Amino acid sequence: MQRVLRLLGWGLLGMAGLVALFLIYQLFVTDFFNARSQARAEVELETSLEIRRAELAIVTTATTTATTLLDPEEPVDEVPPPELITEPPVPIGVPFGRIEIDKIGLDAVLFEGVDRDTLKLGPGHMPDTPLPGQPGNAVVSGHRTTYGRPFFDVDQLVVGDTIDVETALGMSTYAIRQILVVAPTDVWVTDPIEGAWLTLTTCNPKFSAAERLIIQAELVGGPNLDYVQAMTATAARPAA
Amino acid sequence: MTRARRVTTWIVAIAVGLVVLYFLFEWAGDLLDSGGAVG
Repeated sequence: MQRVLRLLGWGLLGMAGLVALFLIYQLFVTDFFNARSQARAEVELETSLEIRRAELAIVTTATTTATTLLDPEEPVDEVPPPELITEPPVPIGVPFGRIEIDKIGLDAVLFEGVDRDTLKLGPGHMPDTPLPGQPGNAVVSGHRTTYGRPFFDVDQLVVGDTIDVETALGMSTYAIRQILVVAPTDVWVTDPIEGAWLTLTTCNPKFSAAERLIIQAELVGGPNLDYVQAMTATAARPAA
Repeated sequence: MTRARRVTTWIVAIAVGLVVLYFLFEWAGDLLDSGGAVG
């Protein structure tokens, strides 16, 4: 009997040690891996941005409301249509920008991709959604409690707070419009939205992957803002 | 068993144990934080 109890005691101690090691690994060691990845990415980003800036393209398709709403018989001052500046796609795992949220002290290099390996490096942009700064719904995911925990404090954000994203395009500023909690399978949060939006997704609550915290922010500043506003105004105008 | 052989056995056992622990922790880590992606 005493032998069984002793064995049981050692077994429980062993399991407690394993759990402690697990928590130390997840909560601290993964931060160390992420810090190394981010430091390396900082250097790579300089080169990446330089190359990508040379590949920016200007597309001009939007018509301004100013020209269309004027009386057709009056002479019209030529208003140049707003320009849309587009970026080439980014290969998976490559750093292409940075995300900054001053309120929670976030400043991290952004990578392309939301697969397990990429998200260990830093916040990742979901392929098949527009890049930040472009019209549509740009989706960015990030760890909440491990691997540098970039989105640890996003629950402190409120509607109206701003998020800055720098890409080859320049700096785009978003204002938070909506914060919600959804199931991990609710992919509708990545659906296209009229205008230009940034959707941040992360695990919720802290230390659990049971839900997703979603933060949706609208473009309020940046090189493509005029184009997006002109497109939105055109879409909202009733057909003649 | 010679002393050198015993030491080698321990080193191999510890190395295998660490590799197993790494994969176990990585797998279990998804319960704590899966990265935040949806879908």
